[in-house]
Formats: sequence, C-alpha cells, structure tokens
Amino acid sequence: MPDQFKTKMNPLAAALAGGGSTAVQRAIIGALLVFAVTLPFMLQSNRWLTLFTIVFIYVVLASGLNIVVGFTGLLDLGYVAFYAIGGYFTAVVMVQVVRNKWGIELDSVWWMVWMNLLLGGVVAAIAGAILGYPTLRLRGDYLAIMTLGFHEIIRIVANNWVGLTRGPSGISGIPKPSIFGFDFNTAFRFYYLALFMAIVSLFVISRMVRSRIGRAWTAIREDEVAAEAMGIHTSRYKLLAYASGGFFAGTMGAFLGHYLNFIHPSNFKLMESITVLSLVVLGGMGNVAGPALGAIIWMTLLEWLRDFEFVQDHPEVRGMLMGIVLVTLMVFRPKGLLGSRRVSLEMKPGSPAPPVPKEVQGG
Amino acid sequence: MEQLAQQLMNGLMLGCLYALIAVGYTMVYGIIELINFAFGELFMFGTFISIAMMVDTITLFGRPVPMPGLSFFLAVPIAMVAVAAMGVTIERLAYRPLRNAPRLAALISAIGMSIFLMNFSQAIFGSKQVFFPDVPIFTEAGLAKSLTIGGAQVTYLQLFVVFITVVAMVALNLFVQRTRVGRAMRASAQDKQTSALMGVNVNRVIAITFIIGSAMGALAGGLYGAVYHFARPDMGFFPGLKAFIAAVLGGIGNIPGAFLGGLVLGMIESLASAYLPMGSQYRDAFAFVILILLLSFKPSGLLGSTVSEKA
Repeated sequence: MPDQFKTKMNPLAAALAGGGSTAVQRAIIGALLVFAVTLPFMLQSNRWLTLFTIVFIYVVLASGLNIVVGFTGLLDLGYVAFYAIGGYFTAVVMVQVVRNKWGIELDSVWWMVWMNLLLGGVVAAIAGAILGYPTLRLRGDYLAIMTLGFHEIIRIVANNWVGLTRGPSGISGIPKPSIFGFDFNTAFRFYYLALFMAIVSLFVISRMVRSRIGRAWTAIREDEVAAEAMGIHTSRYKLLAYASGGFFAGTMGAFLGHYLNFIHPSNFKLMESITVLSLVVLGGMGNVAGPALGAIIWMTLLEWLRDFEFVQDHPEVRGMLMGIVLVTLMVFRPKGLLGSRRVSLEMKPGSPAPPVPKEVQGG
Repeated sequence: MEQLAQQLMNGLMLGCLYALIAVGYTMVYGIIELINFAFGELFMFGTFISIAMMVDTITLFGRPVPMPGLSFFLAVPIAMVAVAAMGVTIERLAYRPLRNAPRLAALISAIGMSIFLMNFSQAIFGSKQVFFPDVPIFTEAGLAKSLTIGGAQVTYLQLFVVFITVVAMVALNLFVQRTRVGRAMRASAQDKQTSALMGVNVNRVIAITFIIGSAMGALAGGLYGAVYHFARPDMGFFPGLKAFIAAVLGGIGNIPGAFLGGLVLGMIESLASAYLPMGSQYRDAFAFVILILLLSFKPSGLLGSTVSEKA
C-alpha cells in the first residue's frame, strides 16, 4: 500500500494499521508488549487480571471474525457458534469421554489440554467450511442468515442433547491447563497464558492477511467478480476464510472451557456474537490492529460497566449501547477507530472503488 | 388422522403469521436488497403495543402507567400505525444514509438496529413475559371457542388469523399490481436509477415499503399475541428469521411467494415437531435446515425468478 495514503492518518493509527516506518511500528508494538507484560505487577487486584484475561480472549475472537467480516467482507453473525464448538469439544472429550467413560485420571493426560486447544480449532474450522459451503454460490447476505441460524442450532443442540452436553446443567470439571507439573491455576498465570495466545494469534493473522491468501481475501471483498476474473479461486478462498475464522474461535472456545472449568449453553448467547462483531466494527474492519484495539477498549468498558448496580439490574443497557454503536459507526464512521484507508475508501457511500494511486496510473 | 388434521391446522395458522412478517422482508429485499433484521423486532413491538392498548395499566420503565383498555380490534390497528411509524424512522436513520454504501455496512446497521430494539423493548417493558389479554369474542368462559372440522379442533381465532392473512395478502397483491404506487414499487425493484429517471420518487417508494412491511409485521404481532397469550422482548427473533426464510422459500421479492413460503414453512415446522423424534425441542432448527437445503438446490425459491449472484 503506497505511503501517501498513510500520511493523512494520525501517526499512531497509521503505525498500528500497518503503515508508517517499520521502526516506528516496531517501537509501538514493542512498547505495547512491554506494557502488557508488566501490567500484572502494577495491578493490585485479581479483578482486573481476570477482566484482561477475558479481554484477550475477545481480542482473538475479534481478530478471527475480522478475517471473515473485515478482510473477506462476508457477514458472519453466528461466530460464537464456533467458539461453542471448541468449548464443547474439549469439555466432551475430557470430561465425558476420557474421565467418565474411560475412567482415566485427567491429571495424567495433561498434554491433552494443549492438544485440544488445537483440535477444538480444527473441528470448528471444519464446521465453518461446511456451513459456508451452501452459501458460496449466493450473495453474502444469505451467509448472515445462515450463520445466525447455525448459532441458534448449536445452542439448541447444546441445550437439548443432554447425553452429550448435559444440556442446561452444563459440563463442569474441565481441567485447568498445566505443563510438566506447572499448573495454570491463578489469575496471574492465566493472564500470561491468554496474553501469549493473543500474541500468537495476532502474529499468525497478521502474516496470513499479508500473504497471497490475504490479498485474495481483500480482492474478494473489494470486487468478487473482478477477483474471479483475475484468476482467484473465490470459492476456495471464501471457504478458507470461514475455516480460518472458525479455527481461532474454536481454539478460544477450548481455552475458555479450561479457563472456567465449566461450559454452559449460556456462555454462547447470540449477544456474544453481536459483541464480537461490534468489537470488529468499532476497532476497524480489515485491519489487524483494529479489532484487537476495539476489543481492548470496548470489552474493558463493557466488563467495567458490569460493576455498576444499575447495569446489573438492567443488562439491556449494554445491548442498547452495542446496537447504537453498530448503527452510528456504520452511518458516520464505517472504517471504525483505525480502519484501513482501503476499507474507508470502499465504505464511503457513493465511491464504489478506491482511486488508483498516481504511481500506478502512470505505469 | 385427527392429529394430522390438527397439526395441519396449527401449521396453517403459524404459516399465516410467518407470511405476514415475510411480506416486509420480501418487499424490502426486492427493492433495496437489504435483510432488514429489525422486522422481527417490529413484530415484537406490534405485540407489546397491542397489549398496551388493551390493558388498563401497564408497567413501563418499571412504573405503572394507565392505559386506555381498548378492544383488540382497535388496539391492533393502533399498533400497526405506531409500528409503521417506527419502521419509517428506522429506515430514515439507519438505512437511508447507507443506500449507496456496500451491502455489508447496511447489513451491520440492520443487525445493530435489531439488537437495539430488542434491548430497548426490554428497557421499556421489562425482561419478564407480559400476558396478552383474552379477546372476548373468541373465548367463552376462559376457553377458546372452537368448532370441529374434519376431526381437528379449529378455534375461531385460528380461522380469524387465516381470514385476515388471506385478505391482507390479496389486498397487498392488488395494491402492488394495480395501483400507481405499486407500479412504482415494481419499477424500483427492477432498476432504481432508471425508475428515478422516469419520475419515480424512489425514496418515497422505499419509505412506503417499510410502512407496509412494518404494519404487516405489527398485525402478525397482534395476532400472535392473541393466539399465544404472551409478549417478551426476544420473541421476535425466531419469527423474524423464519419469516425471512419463508420469503426466500417462496422466492424473494415476490408477495404471493412470501405467502406460499410462509404456509409451507409453517406446515413443515408443525408436522416435523409433531412427528419427528425430539421434534418439539428442535422445532426452531427445522427452518434453518430448510434454508440450507433450499440454498443448495433451489436458491430461487418456489415461485421466484433466478436470483442473480452479485448484482
């Protein structure tokens, strides 16, 4: 992306959005990392550590959804279904099968926890591809309905297939992760585990979207017909987008299960999907740093709001706020807090295509 | 046999309610190609406003407020007018500014609107279920008046729902096919720009579409309340989605199609939940299975012309 687009943004935003000089960018990322790593030493209470652990989970969820919504331009309203799949996968495997059926002590198979983080992601990725398949030939908006429906189906199944998921009573006793006898059993340790997962996920996603795959996704978002004409196998890349998005959700779902030791259908309400979507939209679609930043700001606010008695009595306030944010952002600032310049040009009403940069025009 | 007849009757009535909501989806999608997720919520407001008009006092924002206590037959038209006004306002605020924006922006705006309305109604009416009063003409000593047709118990209310739906559908179809505004609608659905050049006020046409769609949704809401006797802030979610599926099933953009799609969906749902194992627990899932099959094999729907992929 030419630098002339970047200079108009504020430098911090530009750096986070992947522009600016690499040195500045690295310095900012480094500073953020140092801050994130030292933060637990500055915080006195576990309340905030727990809150930030949740925030990191949402950072990954938002970044994963960003692949589908932000980069590929397909609206997925049931993203939390994949989160649920990952969570239930590990819960069912560890508790229902390994412990209850085979009678194996869970401590002795501690490595399965780590394996399940990945496998939960893989299962969710497969589900994403299967779900996306029927919509490939159609317009993206059908995907919105399909995913919304899929989300509810997953929730209905989780509630009713009592033999597998224990229905409304949920599955408890999911083991805490541990590695060679080192247990992740305090808020402090979980904070670092969640931070680690967020960093790895963001790194992988940022590499993915700058690769050939990522360019194909962006091309599909900008103009599917043109992308196809340029030889991009759009169906394959769309499926890959669904699968990649699903993978991150599945992994985090499994992580949530091990973190809470408990999985329950109400962890995966529709409102959760909308929350994740609002993080992506708020932070900025089609930009790696946007959803992460959106998650940090917005989730911290939303979680902090829970401390107020008024909000506890009226949980609908959060929902109303979320609806208002989605609508106002779409109307007034569709690119989000730090949307990529490219998205903002596309999203601007009445300008169907981004203008061609000068240096390209000449060639 | 009797059970089958009974289920068919239930399915017919349910299908009529879906069809009424589906009209809004299909007309709006036909013209601006937007899934207005908020129709489900407008349906819910239709039920709530009908209740508010029928009772003597209702709790709003946690405070009791005196209400007129009108008859059902006055309350529902009032709800239709109020909800139609809401529909136009929503269109003006959340969709019109995005008319030329990418569809993703409009879709996100629509889902945001839907979430806002759902939570807003919870703020107004509370999260608990609100009772929908009996309609005296359809009940006798607390029980629904009914007659037996072919072994099935058919309540007067069910017949009324079917009757009203048929009247509304026929009237609407005549409106779209025969009147000037209807012609403008069909023209805008085909090509907004060209119709604008021919002197059609496209914005006005779209606003009228929202008025009709919202009023029909509110009508469905009032009837739904009378049948099932409750209102709840999240009640619009599934009927809204299913109505959209009904619209796709019938062929989106097509009013007779919405009617047919609604009926078919209502019947399938009613039969499947009665006869399939665990059917009643999974009744909300059938519609999506139908959608998946439909999108895989006949995306244009039962009566629709071919849906172009990327217009």
